[in-house]
Amino acid sequence: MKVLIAEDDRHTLEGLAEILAREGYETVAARNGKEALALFHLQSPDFVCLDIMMPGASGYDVCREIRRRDPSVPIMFISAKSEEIDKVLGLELGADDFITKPFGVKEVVARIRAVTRRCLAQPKARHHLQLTPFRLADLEVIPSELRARRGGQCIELSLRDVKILDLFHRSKGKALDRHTIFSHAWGGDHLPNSRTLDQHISQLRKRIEVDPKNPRIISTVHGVGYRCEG
Amino acid sequence: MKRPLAMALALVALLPLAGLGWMGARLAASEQQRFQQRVQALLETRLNDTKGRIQEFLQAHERQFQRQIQDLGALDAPTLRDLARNDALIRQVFVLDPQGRVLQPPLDGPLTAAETDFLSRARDILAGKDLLYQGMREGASSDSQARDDSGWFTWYGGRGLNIIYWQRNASGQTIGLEVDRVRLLAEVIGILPDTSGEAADASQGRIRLQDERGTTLYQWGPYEPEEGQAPAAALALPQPFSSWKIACLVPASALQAGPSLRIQLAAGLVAAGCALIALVIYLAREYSREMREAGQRLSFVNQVSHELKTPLTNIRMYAELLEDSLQDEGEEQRRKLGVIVSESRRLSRLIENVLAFSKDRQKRLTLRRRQACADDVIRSAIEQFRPGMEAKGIEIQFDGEAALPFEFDPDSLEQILGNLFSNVEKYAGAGKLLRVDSRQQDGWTTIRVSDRGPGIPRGQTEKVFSPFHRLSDRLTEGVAGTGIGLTIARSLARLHGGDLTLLPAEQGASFELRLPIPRTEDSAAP
Repeated sequence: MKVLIAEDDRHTLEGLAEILAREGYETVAARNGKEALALFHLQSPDFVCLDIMMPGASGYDVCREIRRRDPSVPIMFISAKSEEIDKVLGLELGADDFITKPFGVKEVVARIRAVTRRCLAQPKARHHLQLTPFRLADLEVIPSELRARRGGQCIELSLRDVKILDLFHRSKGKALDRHTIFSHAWGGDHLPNSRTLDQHISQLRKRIEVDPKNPRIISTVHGVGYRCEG
Repeated sequence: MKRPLAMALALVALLPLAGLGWMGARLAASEQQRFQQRVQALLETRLNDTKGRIQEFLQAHERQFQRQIQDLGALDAPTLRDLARNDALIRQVFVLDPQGRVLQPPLDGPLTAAETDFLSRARDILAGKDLLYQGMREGASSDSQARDDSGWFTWYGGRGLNIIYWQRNASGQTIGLEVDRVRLLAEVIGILPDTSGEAADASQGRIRLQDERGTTLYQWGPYEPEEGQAPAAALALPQPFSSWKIACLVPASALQAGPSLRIQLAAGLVAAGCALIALVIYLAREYSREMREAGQRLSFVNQVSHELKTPLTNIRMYAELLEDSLQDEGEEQRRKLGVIVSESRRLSRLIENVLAFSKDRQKRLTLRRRQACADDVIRSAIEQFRPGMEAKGIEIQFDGEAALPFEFDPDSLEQILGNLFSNVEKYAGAGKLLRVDSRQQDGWTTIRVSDRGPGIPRGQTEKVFSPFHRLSDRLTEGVAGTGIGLTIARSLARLHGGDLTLLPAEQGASFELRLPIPRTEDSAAP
């Protein structure tokens, strides 16, 4: 999924881009309102994160223009303006959520996942995910909800987690090398970094495995990569 | 400026002005009364002087009449007629025996025309002997100057006032002298000032000598009174003119205090009014300036707080990202990063408190209610504080029984809990315990936050919720804080329709937060 981030502060922009990238999104960055509108037309993102106070066109202006052209794309404001009227105005203009600075990474992640769920629920969503629920051993993965269930336990998943589990589901029993997993879950333009992948798989195991030290869903294939026993 | 304040300031100016005006009017009336009394006293003094001169003149005549009577040898008709003939002031002389019978003029002998006329005029007086005798006694008793054996007697008859001076000799006979009224009056007038007068000042007024009918017999003084003008002061004359009076008439302006007092009063009032108005204008301007400066300070704090948000966001975000990246790194690096993360969160809370306080002062504090679970918010808040609490050795116990979602503002609840936990971390670290209990019953969600710290003195249980209130230095010594955390926490709780209170506790402090659970349509249905 592609996310357009419009933010005039470079560090905030890069930080948000990293958070989104970690979650498994492809990001498009804009430093002002006009650039954001131009990139929206060129890149057709799946959803948009907008700062309000930007040079050129404000976040409100960008939101109004985007809504005029695309009534369904999810829009989320991320701003230091925290007045009630700012939030009301943003939501009235058609934004789906409003995050106020300073925010924590977990809060942004939770809000982005919530917007993604709404995005995935739309019939005309521009993504390429398998949305049908599937099972991996005793784990039921529900991609459209970015969640997995085991019995009564609900496990929150990132978009990247869903992509990885989707790949394992399609290749049950096969050993998948790191490059293949990277291409599928990180995108083709990312350079393979075994440590990044191993860390991610390790974190994923902590959440989906009953005993992460003796994994039953994702097992390690030494010298190659990983395999789903299914 | 707000309308009620403008009205209050106008009242501040108008009420004292009205009071001053009323007191000024009272003072002016009182001054006028005192002035009139002084003028009255002055006029009476002048009249008394005149009366005194007349009295002295009449007493001199009395003494003269006494001598003349005493000098009479025999009380026969020729002797008495000589006396009347030789003294122009004496019209007739008569003698009564002790029983009041007329001895002279001789009723049985030849009478002169004057004697006949006198007897005719005085017939009633002489016939009623008792009346003459009684009259003499009355005259004697009514006139303080008179003695029992002499005095004046007057009666009206003929052409008006008739005057008799009488004296009783050793043998009880009464010798009476009928005095010529006109001549006596002329002599009295002779001792009074000239009509033309010396003083040209009309305010000196005019003094009138008036008879029993009010007819002016003589007058002097430069003032020309109007027809029918009442006298400002009047005084009865002594015997034998006791039915006459002297009256003093003065211009009306002489009885008025004059414009100077009114001008002084008016000037004083105007000056006081100007001073009051100037004071009110000064106060209003000072108030406006202070309000403007307070607004500017608030606006500045708002602006700075907003400006702090972006760098703070970056510090917190990058620290958290780094924390995630350093999962497998050494404990020391993770601890240092943890400090950056927890401190940036603390700074976030401080900024949120400042902004919330600013909104609270401007009555703009609002909530964003949504369906959420109170226990989730409590857990999230606890997790944020766990590293700091653990570093201080504070154990966190949470007994959560508020899992039922209801509509409230989770951000506000997190802010309330943040302020309560922050206080435990700052002030109650020695107790080594933070206990949180949540319950849901009877339409209320109740969250209790307790510690085993030094607690809050009984007298401070309400004051701790006042802005900028700090407990004694013993507790807060060396501990930083803004003093607005509990104020904001209570405001947010009350905005929900609930409250935040300090419960009595034997040890430590125990705060209870109560939030109402709104009745939904489902739960409201029978």
